[in-house]
Amino acid sequence: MDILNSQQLTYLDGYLHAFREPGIYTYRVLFLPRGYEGSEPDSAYTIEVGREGNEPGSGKQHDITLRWDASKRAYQPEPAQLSLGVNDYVLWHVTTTTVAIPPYSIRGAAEDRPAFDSRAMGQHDVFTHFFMTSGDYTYTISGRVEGRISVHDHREVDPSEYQKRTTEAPVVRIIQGKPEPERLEVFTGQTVVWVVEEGEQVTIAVKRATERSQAKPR
Amino acid sequence: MDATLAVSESGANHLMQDLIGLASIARSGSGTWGPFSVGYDVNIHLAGGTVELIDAPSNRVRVHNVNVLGTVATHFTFDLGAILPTICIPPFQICVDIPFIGTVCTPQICIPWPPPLTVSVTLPIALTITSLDFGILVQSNPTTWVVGILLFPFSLAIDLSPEAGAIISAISAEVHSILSGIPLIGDLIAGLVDIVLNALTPLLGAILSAISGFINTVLMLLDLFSLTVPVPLLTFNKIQPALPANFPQPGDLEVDITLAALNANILDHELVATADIA
Repeated sequence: MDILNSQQLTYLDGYLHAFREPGIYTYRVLFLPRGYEGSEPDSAYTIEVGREGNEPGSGKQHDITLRWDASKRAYQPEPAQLSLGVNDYVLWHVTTTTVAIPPYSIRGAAEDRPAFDSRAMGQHDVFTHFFMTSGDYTYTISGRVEGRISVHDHREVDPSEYQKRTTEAPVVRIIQGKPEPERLEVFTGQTVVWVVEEGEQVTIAVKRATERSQAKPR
Repeated sequence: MDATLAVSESGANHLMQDLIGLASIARSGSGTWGPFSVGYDVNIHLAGGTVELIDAPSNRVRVHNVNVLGTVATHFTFDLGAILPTICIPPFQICVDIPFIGTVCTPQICIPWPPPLTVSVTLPIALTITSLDFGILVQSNPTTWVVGILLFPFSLAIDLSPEAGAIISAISAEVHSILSGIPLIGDLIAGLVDIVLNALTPLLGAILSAISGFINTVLMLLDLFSLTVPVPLLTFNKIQPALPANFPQPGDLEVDITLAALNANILDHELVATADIA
C-alpha cells in the first residue's frame, strides 16, 4: 500500500507553497522525525521572491527536484537557488529510482520567522500524491475529519477509458479542516491534489488502508 | 584344493540393479553471468540397464542403456533496475487550475523498479548412457575378499540447450506479470520484457553449459561412476565355516577353512570366482 502522509513525503508526493510576499526565504529539507532538527544537515537553500510578480491565482510554477545523496545523508535540491515573483509557487518533489530513501519534509523561514512547513500546511499550500497501489485509503485531515480515496487497479478498466482518466488529476479542497469531496474514486497512476483553501496547520495522513480484492485484468 | 562360484549374466544383472538402484545424488551450485545470478539444485538417480558379461581376456562387465534421470531446479535472480532504463510517469504533465494559486502541474514519478526477482524453472534430466564398461578387480581386505568392478572412462554429453525456451518463457512471464502491476506503462511492457530477454539471451548458452558441466561433475561423484575406487560386487569372508559332506553325524564339528587366494574371470558369460583353500 502507498504511504499517504503529508508529514512524511515520499517519491510519490509533491508539496507546493505559494509565495505571497517578497523577501529572501530559506528552507531546509528535513528527513528526521520531529525533535531531531538539530541533527539534520545544516544545508539551507534560498528562494528569492522579488517585488514584481503576478496577481494571486495567476502565478507561475517553479519545480524543485530533490535527489537523495546517500554519501552526504542529505537531499540535494535542484536548482539549489531560485528567484521568482510574488504569487509564484514552488513545487518540491523527489526523483529517485529506488524506494530506499527516507521520507522528508520541507520547512521554510523568512528572516528567521517560520514561513511554510509541509508538516503543517498553511492556506493555499498543496499536497499531491500519485497512487501507485490500489486499495481503499481512509485518511484524516489534521487527525479529525475523515476522507476516503478508493483506488482501483488500472487493469480493471478499459484502456481507452483509463487513458482518459489519467489525464485528470482530481482536486480535494480542504476548507476549515474538511475535505471536499469527502470521497473519491481514482485509478492507480492518477495523482490526487489536496488544496488548503481555508485553514492552517493542516495535515493529511492515512488512517486506514486496505487492499482491494484481486484485480480482474480485462 | 579350490572352490568355485559362478554368477550367471542374469545374476550379475540382479547385482548390478542393486548398485544402480542405490545410485542417487543431490548437489547445488551457483554462478553469476552479467546481471543474472543463477542457482541450480541438481537431483539425479540412475535406473534401467542390462548387463552383458564379456569373456576373458576382455573380462568386462558391460552395462547397456543406463538411464540418468532427475531434475535441475534453476533459480534466476536479477535486478530489473540494473537492466531497465529509467522511466518516468505519466509521460506528460497533468495540470489543474486552482483558485488563488494558478495552474498547478503535478510531478512525474520515476519508477523505482521492484526489488530483485527470482524466477525458478525446473528442467528435466533424462538421458541414456548406451554403454558402460567395467573391469573386474579382486581386492584382499584383512578379513574379506572383494570382487569389484571399476569403470572405464567414458564420455557423456549433456545438452540442456533445448531447455532455453522454457527458461526464456518463464522469465518473460514473470517480468510481464511484475511490470503489468505498474500503472501507465502498459504500452511499454512488451519492449521492457524484450530488454530483459535481450540481456539474458546472449548469456543463456554459457549458463546452460555451466549447468551441464555441473551435472556431469555431480554424476562423477556417484560411487558407480568412480574411475579410481572399485565398487564391490561380491564379498567373501576369508574364513568360511564348513560341515562335513553328505550327512553330518551328531557330534561332527564345524571346520573353518581359509580362502587363501581368489581369482575372478568371465568365462562363458559367467562371472567365475575361484578360491584356493588353504
